[in-house]
Amino acid sequence: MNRAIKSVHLRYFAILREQRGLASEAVETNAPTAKDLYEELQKTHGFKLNCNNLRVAVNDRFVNWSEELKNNDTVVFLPPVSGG
Amino acid sequence: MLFVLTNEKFDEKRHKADFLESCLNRNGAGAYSYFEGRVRNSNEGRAVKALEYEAYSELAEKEGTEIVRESIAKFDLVSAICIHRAGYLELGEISVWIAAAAPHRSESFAACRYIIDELKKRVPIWKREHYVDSDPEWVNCANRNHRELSESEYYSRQFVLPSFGILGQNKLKAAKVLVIGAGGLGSPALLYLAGAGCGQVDACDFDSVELSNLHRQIIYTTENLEAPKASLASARIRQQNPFINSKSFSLPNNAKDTQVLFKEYDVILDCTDNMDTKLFISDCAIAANVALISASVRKFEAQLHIWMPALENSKPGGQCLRCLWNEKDTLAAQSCVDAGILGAVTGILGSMQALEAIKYLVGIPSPLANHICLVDLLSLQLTQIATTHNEHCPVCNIGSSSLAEAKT
Repeated sequence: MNRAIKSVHLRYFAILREQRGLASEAVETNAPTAKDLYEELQKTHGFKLNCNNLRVAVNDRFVNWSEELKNNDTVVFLPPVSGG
Repeated sequence: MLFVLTNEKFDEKRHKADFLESCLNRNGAGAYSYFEGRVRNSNEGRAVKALEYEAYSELAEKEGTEIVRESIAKFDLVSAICIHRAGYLELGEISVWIAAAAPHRSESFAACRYIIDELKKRVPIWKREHYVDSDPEWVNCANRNHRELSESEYYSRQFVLPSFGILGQNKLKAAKVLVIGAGGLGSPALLYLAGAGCGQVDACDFDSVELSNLHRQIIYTTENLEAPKASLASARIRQQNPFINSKSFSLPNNAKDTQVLFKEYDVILDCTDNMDTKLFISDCAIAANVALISASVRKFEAQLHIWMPALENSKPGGQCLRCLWNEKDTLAAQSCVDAGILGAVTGILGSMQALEAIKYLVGIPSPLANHICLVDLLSLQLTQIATTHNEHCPVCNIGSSSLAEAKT
């Protein structure tokens, strides 16, 4: 588990963007995986959606929640989609 | 371009002309299908005045392109395209437009259907509805949040049952159940165990969904054909009850690992359809000291067994499936493929298995302990027959695990 502090770029869409009040931000985190990072943000910002309602993309690619985060990754948590 | 995300108003004439232009082998295409989605004036009883689409464009374009590419390969298309709007749309405007050209009509129709269905599941585009008489809301995620799901409301109709209440519900929540075989018996068993609130309901199956399964395996739909059963079933029951956990895997192919696995559970449901596997499961359950509820179905008849934990049952004088049957009986036992089966019959037996598991977990005594129940659904008769210890049974007499170990 990589618990080193890294800098991660976050982008928010739809309901998460509204709940956060921001479309993007940079955060410093020691969260080893995408799941840890989301749970950390959930605590800080009170996001109502849980991991199992969301999908996660790192550097514009869908990944598993266990994906290990690296310095300078762009991470996006995607609420349930509703295009079409 | 296979997928286009645009803020521009849709120009039907231009897009159709461009699409025809893009069909290089135009004479090879005998069928052109077009699907257009438009902004409608109501949703779930609320008057809608406009829509807004927000997209994660980098990934939406990647995923959208991938879907159209998949459809071309899957349906052998001459050409296909999908155009999706972003931004603010008025009533009646086109929000998504799909075109597919194929040699034959069934493929061009199917491709449009495939593209729109996958798009709605996979492409990161979010829809915000503007209502006539209330604030705008994000569709899907907004609705889910709008109605916070209440666990106590979910179980409110079973709370009031005698022997249930909060205590019974908590026992179920703490319980771990493994369902082996996610088919005709497993479908209702998994759904009802999940619905009842068993905290962990895991599914084992190594098969994929076939068309001939669907008349009885009601956990699947025609959209699931050829996909692996266990993971579908597991995902389906998590939708049925968001307050439980479920995972899926294949059963280990040796007794030792299977026993280790069984020890993690409170109850095993044997929903398999052949005697060899049933004996293997029984041997391992006895060795792992875990309760086993087993059902076998043939035409309109069935047998239901409950084997209590080995501590009570497999010591001298105890009983197990092998006290009754052995591998030689495999030849006599016909599977559904040979004997024929109706969905309602496996439906009833799978539901009975779930119910026996719930009773066992909550602590409601069952008359089936040390009995088998013969179910005849033509005459509607249930017959309970007391089982007795078989002094020649290798599992119950030699000691719990020796036979299972010998088999590895």
